Amino acid sequence: MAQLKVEDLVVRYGKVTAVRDVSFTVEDGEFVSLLGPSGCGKTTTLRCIAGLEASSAGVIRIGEEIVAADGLEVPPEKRGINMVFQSYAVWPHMSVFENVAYGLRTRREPREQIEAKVGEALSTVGLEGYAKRYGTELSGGQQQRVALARAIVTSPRLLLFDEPLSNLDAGLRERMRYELVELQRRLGKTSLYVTHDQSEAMLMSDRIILMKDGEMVQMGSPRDLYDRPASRFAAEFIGNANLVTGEIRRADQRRAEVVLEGGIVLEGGFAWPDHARQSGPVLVCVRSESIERVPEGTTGVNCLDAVVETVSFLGATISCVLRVGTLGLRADLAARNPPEPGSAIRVRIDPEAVTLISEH
Amino acid sequence: MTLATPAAPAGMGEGFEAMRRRRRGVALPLALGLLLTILVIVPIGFMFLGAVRTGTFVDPGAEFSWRSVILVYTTLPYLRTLGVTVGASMLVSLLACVVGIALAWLIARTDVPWKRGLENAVIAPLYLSPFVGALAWLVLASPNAGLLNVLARDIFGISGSIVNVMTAPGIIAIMALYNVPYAYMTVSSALKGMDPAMEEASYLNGAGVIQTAMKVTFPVVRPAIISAFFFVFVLTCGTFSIPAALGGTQSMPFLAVDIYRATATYPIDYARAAAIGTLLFWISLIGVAFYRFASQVATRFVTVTARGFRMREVRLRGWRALAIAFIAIYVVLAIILPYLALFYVAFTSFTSASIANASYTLANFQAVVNSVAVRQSIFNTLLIGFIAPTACVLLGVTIAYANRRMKVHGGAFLDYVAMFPIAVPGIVFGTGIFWTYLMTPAYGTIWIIVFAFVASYVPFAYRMADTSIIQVDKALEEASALCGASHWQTARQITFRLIRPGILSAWILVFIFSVREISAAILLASPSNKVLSVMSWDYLEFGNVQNAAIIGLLQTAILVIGIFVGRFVLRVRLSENG
Repeated sequence: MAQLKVEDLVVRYGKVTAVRDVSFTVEDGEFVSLLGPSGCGKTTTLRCIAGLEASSAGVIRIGEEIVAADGLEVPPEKRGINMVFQSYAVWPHMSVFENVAYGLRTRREPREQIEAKVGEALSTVGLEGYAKRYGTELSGGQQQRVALARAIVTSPRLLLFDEPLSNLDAGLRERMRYELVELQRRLGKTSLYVTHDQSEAMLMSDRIILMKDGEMVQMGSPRDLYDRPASRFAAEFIGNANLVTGEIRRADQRRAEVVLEGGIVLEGGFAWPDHARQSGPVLVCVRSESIERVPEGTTGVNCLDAVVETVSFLGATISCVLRVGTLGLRADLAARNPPEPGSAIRVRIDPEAVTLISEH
Repeated sequence: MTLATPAAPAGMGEGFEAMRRRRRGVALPLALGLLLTILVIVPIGFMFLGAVRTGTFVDPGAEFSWRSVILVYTTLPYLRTLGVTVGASMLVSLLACVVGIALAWLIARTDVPWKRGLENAVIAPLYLSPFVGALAWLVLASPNAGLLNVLARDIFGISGSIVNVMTAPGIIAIMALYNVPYAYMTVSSALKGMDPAMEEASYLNGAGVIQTAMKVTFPVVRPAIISAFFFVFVLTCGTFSIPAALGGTQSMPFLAVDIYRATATYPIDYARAAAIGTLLFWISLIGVAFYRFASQVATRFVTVTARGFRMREVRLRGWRALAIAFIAIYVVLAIILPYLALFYVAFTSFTSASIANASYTLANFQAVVNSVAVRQSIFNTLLIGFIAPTACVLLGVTIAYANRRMKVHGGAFLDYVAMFPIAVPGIVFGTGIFWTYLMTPAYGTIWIIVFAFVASYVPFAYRMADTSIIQVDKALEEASALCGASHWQTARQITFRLIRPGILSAWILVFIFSVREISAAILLASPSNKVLSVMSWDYLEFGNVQNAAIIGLLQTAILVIGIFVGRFVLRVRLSENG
């Protein structure tokens, strides 16, 4: 196991820059996700770290060793890492045992040792008894487990995951998420995980690196990314928040009063210290679950009158579209005693849950 | 194969429309079945019948006899020829596959430059006539007058010959040379269809380039390699052109050449030709059975594929020059050198002292092109080159449409018979057609050749039409029906419009086959129906290599124009590589 350090990584294909100045560190034993929409450069970044793609500039270090830098390109087979592929890439002409043993045989490990290690890896992923089967005889979930066993059996310094769950159906995907995290925690492998699914990244990662158009947008714990998005993109991509623009009316170092469209005044806190402003436009981010219904006539900070436009039943909650003046807001309210569409209600937004983003 | 109509309950509400629909469900497959039977099954049946006769069907003195069959199936010269044919064909397949795999891997997996151009160059021999290639190699490397041997004598002062293609190894090498593109295309498309992650996973497990190629890449495409092997094997077993051109029975006996000799040289024995034809038929059938089995395994190996990510190219570094040289040598040997030789022979006069200061002249060329017989054969070639593909495509599209869209009765039978000629070498079909039409007025006309070509090439036209129809989403036709179009309006305005590119490619492909074909044509040739390839062969038989070369160039010109028109005017895709 080792630390992964990426410094100023750039990947260009002709005139197109697919990855621009990406820098991050994955600490020993940490689970980090690269998250972003398709085409954001997350897979390219991963493939550069694997050595499957050549970088145009930047340095990649695994442990103390530099594996990619100007003019230096350690081939993937010499990087001492392993990877789980989106398509599983289980070799169809080999049995499960041969698939998993491949890396060990390549290193010419003794026979008994290979058998022991493969057996252990197969039991780790819950595939005891499948050793003699062929890859194509297995279901998607089982193939994914073979790929996982094959990746961990070589004791790689770093484990890479390229959207490993995206070919599985929804139920299995859900279960595999928990299994993968549990396995990673147990083995303590340094892991880098690529996904476009924000809930997957939130659930599994110690830290998330959010990417867009080949650049890093924000890096932090899942909580940080959700509670304190640093940009419109981050707020929209993770958790799909209500975003409205406003003018700062009064502010201190941490908090501000903002005037929205139609004269509505909200109080909230700046996402990050460097976002603090004394005046000017600001983006107001309100999560739909931080809007709560309060009794008629409640007064105080961030209490507003709203008209319920639509109500959709989701089970535990209802999703409403509220109109506050001319402003439309999505709100998740408790499913008990739901308001009628067209009715007027009083709502409150906790000032702690109102995030102010200065994008300039 | 059920040709009978299921007994439908004749309910009271059944109207005229329903009755008409049911009749169409029988009449069309019956007509198609009859046509295919006459085209495909009857000639093969008559060949088997002919093998056990002492003379032709019109010969009143002919009777039933096992003589020819016993001769061919049990006596030494024929068994030896059989052994040589099978053995040499295996060797040819092996060579073609080894070279084809190497070329496919280099072009699909490494960082050799100019990939598109190199690939087109490697595939090009497929669209040219192997007979013309053999003729060119005869010009290049016959033992005494071969240009390469002459050059060696002139430049290095070597006496005797350095290369000689009129030997068994020479014939095998030339046959392999012209079969490489088949192996290349099969393996290349398997490599391109393979999930790149298969190889990437191998690299990440610590395997290097060679180890990955040997343990992952080639094993994964092994079924494709095996099917390519048997494909080339079947094709080679029935080859007439190359072994015949390069010396026939003198250098290496070959079954296809024996068939021709039995019908063309004294003592003429049509029954023997038919008996050898049946022997060749069985070998092809076995080869095709293996081929089908391998192809089925190949589809079982299909796995989940990720969205297309750029394959990581193997960096050849210092080996790059060697790789380019390897590909270049193939192209030079298969195309450049042969055509240079043909041009040289066609446009020089015999009085030239040496190759370096040859005198060039158009006189020979003009003389050949102006001869009435050659003009007639150009006309025949073009006429057959128009009729055969048109008939093939019409038949192929009708069968495919009847099968896929009308679900006619007996569809499985039609499919089987339409695909069957794949297993029958051209010369075997020629033998069967010969026996079938000997007693009809069609004998000696171009129609007999058209019949042979349509029967031989209907599988290609049918398969391409079928693939095109499968690719048309049924919802597109259903949408047309819901907009109020009748069945035939939908077929005309939607289905046939959408499969037009497939139909055009099939037409061009059969055109190419028809123009370059020699083995069936040569068995059915008579003075009035000679095509260019037969004309060229005749000149070669009389020892006039120069005229043979000129005809070969004319034939190539027609092929090149056809391909050019198809590729750039009709924008047809001839292979999946473009």
